[in-house]
Amino acid sequence: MWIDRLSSAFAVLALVALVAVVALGIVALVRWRQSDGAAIDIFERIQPVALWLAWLVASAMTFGSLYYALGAEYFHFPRKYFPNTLGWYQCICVVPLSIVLLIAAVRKDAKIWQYTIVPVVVGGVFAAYNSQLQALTSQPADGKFSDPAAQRIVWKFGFVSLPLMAMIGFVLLGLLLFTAQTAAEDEQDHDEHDEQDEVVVDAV
Amino acid sequence: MLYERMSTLFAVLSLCAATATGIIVILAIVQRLTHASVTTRFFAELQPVSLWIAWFVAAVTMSGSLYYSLVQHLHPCPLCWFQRVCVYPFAVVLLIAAIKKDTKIWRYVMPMAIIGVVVAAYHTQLQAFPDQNGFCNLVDPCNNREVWKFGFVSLPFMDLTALLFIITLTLAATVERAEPEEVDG
Repeated sequence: MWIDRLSSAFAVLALVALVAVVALGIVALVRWRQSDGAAIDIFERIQPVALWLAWLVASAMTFGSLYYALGAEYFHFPRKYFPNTLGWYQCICVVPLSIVLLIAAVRKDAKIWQYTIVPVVVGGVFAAYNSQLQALTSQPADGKFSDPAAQRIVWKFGFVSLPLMAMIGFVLLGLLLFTAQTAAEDEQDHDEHDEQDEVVVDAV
Repeated sequence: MLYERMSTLFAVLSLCAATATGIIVILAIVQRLTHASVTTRFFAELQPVSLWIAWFVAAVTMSGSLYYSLVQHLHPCPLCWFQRVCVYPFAVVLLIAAIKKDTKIWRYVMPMAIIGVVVAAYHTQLQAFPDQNGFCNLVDPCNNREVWKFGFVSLPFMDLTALLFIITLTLAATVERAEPEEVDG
């Protein structure tokens, strides 16, 4: 029952992430409309740690997907939890982020969104398609990868499936990368100094 | 017989990548030891196009693996999936880096590429010597040679050569910074 318990834990984490998505979305919208207030304070608190939070989200998603791929029941057959094709494409979009975002967070490189936006969007699209496949089960079988992807392998609280967790994660990643990028815009002068420093270091 | 022809084409491309990697590495060693004008000029010429070539290699690798799974309906084994994780992002990242002329991209490329090389190297030897306990032979046999050309070129071997070529080219893109240093010296 370890798998079931961990699935519940992942589902709870996904709901926490969903709350974070809504909260961060509201704060970002308020910041767009107003120039000061409580929302701005919260946003400015998040800005410096946004890349670390994004790395944390990507790592949790990577751990979750690798747990189902390798840890859960690797030597059992048939392997119910082993990722299907659509699941693997979502893995491809998120696993590299757990390394890339760590390097970006250490280097304070907010421009990393230019590279990570593509896997985040592609992964989000795959996850959205896969989520609706599992949510609306009355769709006709197409004899291709959609059929195994439509199986509700994890189904918590009446609506949380594995691709839904992935989709919430990708949306949160996108929002956090956006937050980090606005921090870079605010501190552009600072960034330019950093770049100059780097050139000097490289030349030495 | 299209399958066999395409496999031969990919195998030849893989051997070209391996040869090019070897040549660049040898020239880099010569450059490091002697600072010969020929190799200096070679790396100066290579630098502006190396990220584009690296992107092209990644794009061909991705297309090749998608050809086998989507067109020929081969079922990728778990090790193949992990190699895909380590190579598909480069088809996007290296294109953006090439457009931006971002030579520092090696910092982000290198960790995934090295993990990919380790997995590909293990998988290559698994297919070269298939009589061993594989990583995933319970359901999808990883030691099954879907492609076996010229007596040694397997699918993971192609991935290995592609990744080594991508690593070499991504590092070759960083050469520019060293150049003014040599002019000064």
